Amino acid sequence: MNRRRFFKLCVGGMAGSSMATLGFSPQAALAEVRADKLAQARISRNTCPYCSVGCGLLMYGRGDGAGNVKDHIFHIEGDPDHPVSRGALCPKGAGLIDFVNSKERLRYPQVREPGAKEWKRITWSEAIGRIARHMKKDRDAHFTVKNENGVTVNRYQTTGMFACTASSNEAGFLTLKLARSLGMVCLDHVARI
Amino acid sequence: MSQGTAASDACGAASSIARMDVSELYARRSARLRSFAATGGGMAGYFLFAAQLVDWQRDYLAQTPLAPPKQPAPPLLIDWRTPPLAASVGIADLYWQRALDALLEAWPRQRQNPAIVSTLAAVAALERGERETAALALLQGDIASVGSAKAPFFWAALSLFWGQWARLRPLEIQERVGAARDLCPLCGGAPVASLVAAAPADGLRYLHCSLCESAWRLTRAQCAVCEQSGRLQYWSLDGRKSVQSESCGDCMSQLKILHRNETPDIDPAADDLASLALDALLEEKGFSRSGVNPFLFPGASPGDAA
Repeated sequence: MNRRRFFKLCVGGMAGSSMATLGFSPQAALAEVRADKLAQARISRNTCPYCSVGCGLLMYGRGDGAGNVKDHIFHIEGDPDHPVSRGALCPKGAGLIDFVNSKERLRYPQVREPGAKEWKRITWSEAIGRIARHMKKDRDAHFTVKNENGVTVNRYQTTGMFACTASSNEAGFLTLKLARSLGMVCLDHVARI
Repeated sequence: MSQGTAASDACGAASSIARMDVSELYARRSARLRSFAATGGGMAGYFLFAAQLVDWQRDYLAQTPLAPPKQPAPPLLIDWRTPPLAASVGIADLYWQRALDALLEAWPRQRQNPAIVSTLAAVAALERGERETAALALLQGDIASVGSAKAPFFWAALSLFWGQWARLRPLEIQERVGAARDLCPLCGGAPVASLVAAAPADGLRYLHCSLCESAWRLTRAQCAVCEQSGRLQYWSLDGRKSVQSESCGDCMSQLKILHRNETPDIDPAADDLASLALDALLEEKGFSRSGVNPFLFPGASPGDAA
């Protein structure tokens, strides 16, 4: 394979370039450059989180990664190179940018206590602790060790788990391990359309 | 793709190679260059010079097209490894030599700047053998062998030949996953720029060959040279959404990426020439061009080594 050559066209005021050697004035061309302001963006590939089709996304972000400009996503479109969706998105997928940047978006755990009207912000530690306590209480109360025929089944049927469709294989593996290790049999996820 | 001739397979997938009509392409390019010239500015004269070269290409194509093969020729095999129309294969064809003679003959001498007149005289003074040696070196990236002044004239004649040669026969495309796509699969030429197509191949990105004017598909958001995608950045200038530069922090190259959705009459060579500001500003950030513009070749400088 040939290695591609790179060029610096404008270096040294473009002296030596075709424009200069053919008698035109590169200075005039380069003078106009100074007036222009440069904008920068990045593109990331991702997968739509909504359903099992798993449409490809191109997500456009701004930010320099150095903290001088706050990173944010400003545009999302279908990935035309994606073998399944070929650039297409359904209305939900096409509206992802509003989902990503929504002011209403859930950013931290909240709880609405029994009888309360308001949601209350809690820490992740509190949230995970509460969920674990609820699950343990429920599991201790309803765990089935043997069925009516005396066969060992070790089932935990009173709580189910609803998992994500856009997870990686590894995240899916861990999700399954967590649920099954508790004896949970009710498992489902968004991909089941 | 939007340039007219991209075929689709039965599933509606766009072809990986598109060969748009050269005459239409020249017409659009010339009109685009003249529209840039009409807006005035420091490069107006140079846009007109480039348009004049393209007009000559179109006229010569109309009057003296490359003869098609007498017998039905087998398809060109595209294996993404060995370009069938490589520089070393096509350089011996006399079509481009005759075209260059005709260009020297046809170019008006009145009211031209002296540098162009002396360049034309210098090309005219070369023997055919010398021209062939110089042209082959030019196609292989050695611009100094021809010089940046003569290069656009050589390129106009060479591209006129390669553009037609690349369209004489049907293609048999053997898709190859993972093959390098940085150079033209037909002729091995470097791209001018990449172009994001409008409907029906909406959103697909094609690299446009600087030599044979074919276009070949490359995945979006991937460096056109080193195929990395981790450190890409997209640069644009205020108010011009249709022309961006895609820079790669891994190999430190940059190539323009044009959006036909935004500007239907966009042309890779013309719009690349009209966005030199991007090149200048990105050079300051350490990025070098990987694209070849048929109208503007760099002079010898420490920065042009591969």
